[in-house]
Amino acid sequence: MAQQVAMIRSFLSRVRFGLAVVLLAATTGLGACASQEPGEPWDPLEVPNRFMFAINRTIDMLIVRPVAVTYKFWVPEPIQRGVSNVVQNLGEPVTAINEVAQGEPSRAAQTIARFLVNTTIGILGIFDVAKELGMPPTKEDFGQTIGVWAKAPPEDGGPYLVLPLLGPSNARDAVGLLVDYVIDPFRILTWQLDVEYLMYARTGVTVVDARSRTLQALDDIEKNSLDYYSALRSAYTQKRAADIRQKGAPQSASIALVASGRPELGFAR
Amino acid sequence: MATFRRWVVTCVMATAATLLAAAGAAAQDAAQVVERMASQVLATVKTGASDSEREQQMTQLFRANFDIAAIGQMVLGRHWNGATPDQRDKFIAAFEKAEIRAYSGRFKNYQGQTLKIGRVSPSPNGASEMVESQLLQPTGQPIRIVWEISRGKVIDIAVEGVSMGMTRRSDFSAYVQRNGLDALIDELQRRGG
Repeated sequence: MAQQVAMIRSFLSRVRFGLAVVLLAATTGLGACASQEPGEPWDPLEVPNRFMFAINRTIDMLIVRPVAVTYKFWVPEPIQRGVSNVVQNLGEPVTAINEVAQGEPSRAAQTIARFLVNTTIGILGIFDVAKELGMPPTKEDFGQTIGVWAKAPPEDGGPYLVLPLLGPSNARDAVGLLVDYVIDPFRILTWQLDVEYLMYARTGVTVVDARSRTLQALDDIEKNSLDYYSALRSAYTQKRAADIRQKGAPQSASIALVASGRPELGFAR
Repeated sequence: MATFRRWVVTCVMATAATLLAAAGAAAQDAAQVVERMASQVLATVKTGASDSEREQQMTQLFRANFDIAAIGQMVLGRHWNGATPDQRDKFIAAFEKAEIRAYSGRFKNYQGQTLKIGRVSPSPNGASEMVESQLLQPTGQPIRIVWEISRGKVIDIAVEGVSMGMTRRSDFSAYVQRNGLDALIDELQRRGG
């Protein structure tokens, strides 16, 4: 058993190293960005991206979406809200670190206050007590932090990437995901205490929660577009740029598509 | 000389006042466009009309409040310049129908949402007004919607920072590059018809 765990661990570290190399190669091209048409995302890897997009879509269609649909329509609304609050609460430490990195200490302080209040009075984050006390939730990831400090406009996150399982991204946000993963105090704690299954459980719950909230928005884009890949690429790029520009303003509805802040859009629910 | 200076000052102030008043009026008008449209849409969805009736009402609403020619031209991007007048007309007609069909579908499941109008500000290039609003939902977080209004009509909608016009342009551009403009028009006609 221990041997298997060690094997998986070494495999994972190799995967992570490989990913880092790919990302490094991708980011070095960051400065040389030039899109063919103004406002269009830069996508030099379109062919492999479309391939990965097709694979992700199949997995989504067969597994993720059915689970999310079942969850959304069969699980009572208060439970869904509680789950969503717990996911948000576990993400607060990473948000706080990023707010510090973005030069927003007062917002970081509020995020930490939210975390402490909700973890205790809110019973491990199930109830968002802090919101009732006038501290609305925020969400910041390291992709946004890079975007805040980068000289490039927030629409330019380097080459667009479709990541395996994680979906739409770009060089900037992929590096951000990796950094957020590495600095995540919750992950470090679960590793230290040898309770890594908690991390996997959290990832699973996060995915279902996020997908159930983006059902309607993504269905709308898919149904009303002629080239779903291009429409989603544009929507993702715009959403991330808006999140970076909105730094400081409370986000009314920053809703995750995958592990961290991803788009939600749409009209009626 | 003093009289002349006073005259210049008066003129400048009068001009500034007029401009400010005009800007204020434009802002108010833009907000009213959105407000009026929201109440019209609400009235339409609340009646519980049949699908075809609702689509007919939506068509009227859409034509009265959206500058479809401007939207269509923006959405087609650089392909607009290469299109013949006939292709342009066909594209606008097909695009309008497809958009109306899409909007009718969206409002099908109305569940008590309301639109709260917020701040109005001029767009970065000054050619239009941006009306901020929030779509309040009975459950879940409010959705941030910004309406771009030019000459009393909607020319773009941004939902949570995502411009529908820009998304559509990426979408259509990719389709035209792969299949050509005529194929795009055919596909839109098929979807709207």
